[in-house]
Amino acid sequence: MDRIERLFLNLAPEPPRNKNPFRISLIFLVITILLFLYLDLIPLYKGITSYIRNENIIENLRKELNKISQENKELESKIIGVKKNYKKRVDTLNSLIEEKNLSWLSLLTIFEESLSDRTVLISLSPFSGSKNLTAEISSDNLDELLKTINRLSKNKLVSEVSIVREREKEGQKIITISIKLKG
Amino acid sequence: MREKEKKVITYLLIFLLIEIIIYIFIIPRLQKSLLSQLDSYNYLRKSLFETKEKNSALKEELTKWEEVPKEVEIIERDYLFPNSIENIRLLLKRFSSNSGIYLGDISYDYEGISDSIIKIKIDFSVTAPYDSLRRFIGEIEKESRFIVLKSINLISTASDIINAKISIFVYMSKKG
Repeated sequence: MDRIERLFLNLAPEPPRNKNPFRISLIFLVITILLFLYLDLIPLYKGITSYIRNENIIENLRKELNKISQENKELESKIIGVKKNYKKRVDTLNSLIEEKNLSWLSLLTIFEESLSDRTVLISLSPFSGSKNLTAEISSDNLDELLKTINRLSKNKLVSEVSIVREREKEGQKIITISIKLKG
Repeated sequence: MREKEKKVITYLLIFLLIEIIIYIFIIPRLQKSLLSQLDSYNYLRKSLFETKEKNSALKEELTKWEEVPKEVEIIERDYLFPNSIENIRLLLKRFSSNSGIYLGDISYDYEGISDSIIKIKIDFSVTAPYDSLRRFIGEIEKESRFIVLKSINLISTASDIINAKISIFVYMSKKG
C-alpha cells in the first residue's frame, strides 16, 4: 500500500512555540500561592479575631478588678473606722471573758490529785489572759515536793511544769513553780 | 514566554512574596502578641480571684464589726456589774453565807481600765474548811457577770481550817 503523507500547514501569524514552561510555572505558582493563602489566611484570621476578643476580655477583667479593688479600699476604710471606735473596748472585753473562762475549781482539782500527803499548796495565782499560773507548794521534805511536781507534770490538763524558786521558812521548804495548762 | 505571560508570572510572584512576608514576619508577631495576651489574662484572672477572696473576707469582717457595737452594748449591760459597790458587797455576802465562810479584813482598790469599765480589786481574808472555800470559789465561777478570782495565798492551816488571803477582781460599769 502506498503510504499517504499528510501535510500540516501552520496558518497562524507566528511560528508554533512551546507553552509548557509558562503552564508549569503558572501551575506551580498558583499551587504555592494557594498553599500560602491557606497557611497565612487561616492563622491570620483566627489570630486577629482572637486578639480582638481577648483584648475585650482583658479590658473587662481590668474593669472588674479595678471596681473590686476600689470596693476593697472602701471596705477597709469602713473597717478601720469601726475598729477605731471599738477595738479597745472589744480587746478589754475579750480579756475579761478569757479571765472569766479560767476554772479555779479545775485548778484545785489538779492540785488535789497531785499534792502528796506532806505537801501543802500555799499560793496560787494565774497570769491574766493566759494559761500560765504560778503556785507555791510547801513541805518539810524535798522528796515529797518533787513527787508533787512529778505528779503535776503528768496531769492530763498540764502541759509544762518548771521550778522557779526554792526557799526555806520556819523549817519548811517552799518551792515556787510555774505551770502551763494545756489548750 | 510572551510579555503578557511574563506579566502574569510577575504579578503572581509579587503576590507570593507578600504571602511569604506575612507568613515569616506577621504571623509569628501575632502569635507572640497572643501569648503575651494570655499571660496578661492569666495574671488578671489570678489577681481578680485574689481580690474577690479579699473582698469576701473584708465583707465578712465588716459585717462582724458592724455587729460589734450591739454586742459590746449587750455584754457591757448584761455582764458588767452596775455602778453600785453596795450590790457587789451584797453579792460577796451572799457567796460567803451560801458557802459558809467568813470574810474579814476587806480592802478595795479601784482602777479605770477603759472609758466605760472600772476594775475593783477586792482583797480579803477567809477562815474556813477547805470544802467551804471550794464552795465559795464555785459560787464565784457560777456568777455569769465579770467577777474573777485572782489569787489565793495560804496564811496558815490548823486541822481542816484554812486561813487564806484571797484577791478577786470585779468589773463594774462606769454608768450608773
